[in-house]
Amino acid sequence: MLKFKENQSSIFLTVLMYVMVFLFIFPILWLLLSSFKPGGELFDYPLSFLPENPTVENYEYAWTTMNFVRYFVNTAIVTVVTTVLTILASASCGFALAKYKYKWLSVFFICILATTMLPTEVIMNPTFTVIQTLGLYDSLAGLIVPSISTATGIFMFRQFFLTVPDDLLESARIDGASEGKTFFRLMLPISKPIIITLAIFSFQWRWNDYIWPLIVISSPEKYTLQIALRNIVGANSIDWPLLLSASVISILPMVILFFVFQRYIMDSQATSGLKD
Amino acid sequence: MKKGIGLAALLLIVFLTACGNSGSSSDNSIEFLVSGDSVEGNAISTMAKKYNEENDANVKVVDVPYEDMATRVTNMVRDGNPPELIRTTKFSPLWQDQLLNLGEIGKERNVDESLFIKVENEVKALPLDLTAVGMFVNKDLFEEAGVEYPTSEDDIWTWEKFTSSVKKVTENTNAEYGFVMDQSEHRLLTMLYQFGSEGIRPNGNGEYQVNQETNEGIEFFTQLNNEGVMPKNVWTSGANAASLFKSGRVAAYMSGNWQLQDFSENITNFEWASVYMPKEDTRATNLGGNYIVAFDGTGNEKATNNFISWLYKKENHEQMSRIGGYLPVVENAEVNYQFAQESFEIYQNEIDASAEVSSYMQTEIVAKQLIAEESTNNVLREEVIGVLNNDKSIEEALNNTTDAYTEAYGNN
Repeated sequence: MLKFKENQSSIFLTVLMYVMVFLFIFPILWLLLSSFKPGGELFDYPLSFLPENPTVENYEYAWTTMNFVRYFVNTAIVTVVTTVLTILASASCGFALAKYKYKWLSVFFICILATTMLPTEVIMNPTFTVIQTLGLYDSLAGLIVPSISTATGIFMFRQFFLTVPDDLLESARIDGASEGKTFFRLMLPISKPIIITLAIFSFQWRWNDYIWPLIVISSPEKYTLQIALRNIVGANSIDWPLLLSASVISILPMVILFFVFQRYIMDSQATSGLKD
Repeated sequence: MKKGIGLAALLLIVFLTACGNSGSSSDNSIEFLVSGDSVEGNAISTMAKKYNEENDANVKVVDVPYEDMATRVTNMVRDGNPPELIRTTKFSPLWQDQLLNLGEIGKERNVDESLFIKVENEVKALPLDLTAVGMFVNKDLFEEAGVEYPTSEDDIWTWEKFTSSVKKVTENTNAEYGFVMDQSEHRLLTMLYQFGSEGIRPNGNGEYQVNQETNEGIEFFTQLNNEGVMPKNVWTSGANAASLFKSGRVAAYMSGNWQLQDFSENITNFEWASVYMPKEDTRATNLGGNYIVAFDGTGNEKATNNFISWLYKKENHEQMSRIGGYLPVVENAEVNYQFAQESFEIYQNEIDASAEVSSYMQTEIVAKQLIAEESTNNVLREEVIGVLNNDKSIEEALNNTTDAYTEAYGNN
């Protein structure tokens, strides 16, 4: 009887899972299939799921109308540079907060944590003033610099380094390693899981970042992908064939990245809330 | 490992310095911010290229997302580094003191003076490309139902005639709705003008008011929605009117000439046509479109003025309008469009026959954006949605609207 019940509930859960998968995948499939429809078919009645006369014209149109290579390069520069710097900054800060004992350090840590309570939108105005005064307006550096330090990253690293036994650190010191050396040669390598998790998060955040680039970047040769896509939406009408194909092109790098790092990404989503 | 990281850090520092702002205000290039140029056949970029080649100049066209133009420009103005030139539909009071007076160029080039944006006798903006509201019909549906629609200015229908015609179409074909209108105040106002509304205007005391015809127009509009001639979900919950028309299940669609290119390319499942709009009291369309605004204090004022003047030269204006599918604003300009020529002619006739109120309201609302902190953008639309939802009476909705106008603009 118990077995039957277990069986039943597992069937129920599996069905539920498939329903959820379908719900998530349907809009994406619709986007993908619609991008292969010629413009005249998009609003046809009755709507068809599969394109009747599939065409790659939209993609040719998108590729020739928009300077994708430049947008990809810009987005990639911002994403990669920010991610590398974020990891270095968060790791060193997290290490210091976990392993050094100074009087005001924990207060400082609370202050850092408190910043997570302020959404980006709230501090956007002052941040913009700072960027402007530094002369970073309309430069990729203006996108990178404010995004480097993140309380989430610091917290993740601090929690991880707390679990590393002090003995390990002390033995390194006894062996004559300098503080820098202990950090780079010992601490950083053992925090690999956290590095990968944070790298994946940071990559996603930066790739999809929209509002900040929108404010800081003004010349089109510095546009990131998300800003460039926005240009397609006009005052009164939207060029749907162009928007659909351009959106698909813009998500391709993320999809490829996902397939390459699939194992780590699944891991990172599963463990991000836990102590590793 | 340590060496590697040190090297990486060094590279990053070099990189960050390299992508810092290199400062661009010293050269005499003209930065021209526009929205949607790439989807409008690159009309502006083509003209800029032509100008650069002819005059050895450096006009740089920058495509900015439509929704963000005003924010972007305001940021640049605050940065003390405004662009030389922008093409926009939205304005901010923060720009007002930094704009060049374009009146002379406008007059010299015979630009339609009723569309000048004036603040304290200075022309702050010139219309660059005009849009007008107009009606589309699904030709196939009308033919299938054996219903006629006006083909010349002599047999223009009244709103009653129009309504009974589209009702007949829905009865005799598989069309689901007779008529659809964008969820837009601009389109609704067009209909109200046709009913004889004079718009929303101040009286001697600076209090804004509307006439009785406005009330009647909204009543008719509400009735169309309640009877199901119009799909109610377009106005109450924002369903896309253009897609509904494109699906081929709606007899008539009130939108504007900006749809012509899209419809010419992307409607393949039925024949459509532009027709003259109905009238009740008067004929009217509603004008819109982009304005050109030039900033002072860029160090390139003279070069900017030269470029604007060149852009409004009749043959250049005609070429730009042809490529972008714009309605011209220069007197006597004749444009051979690449698509939908007959439709453009109908739009031109509608503009010529239109009541004065359409250009008055349009320039008035734009000019107010330059001086008033508050905006009455979409107040009327939201109030009418309230009426459609049975939340309030037409009377209340109009009172709220005029109150909002008085509060925002009453003292200016």
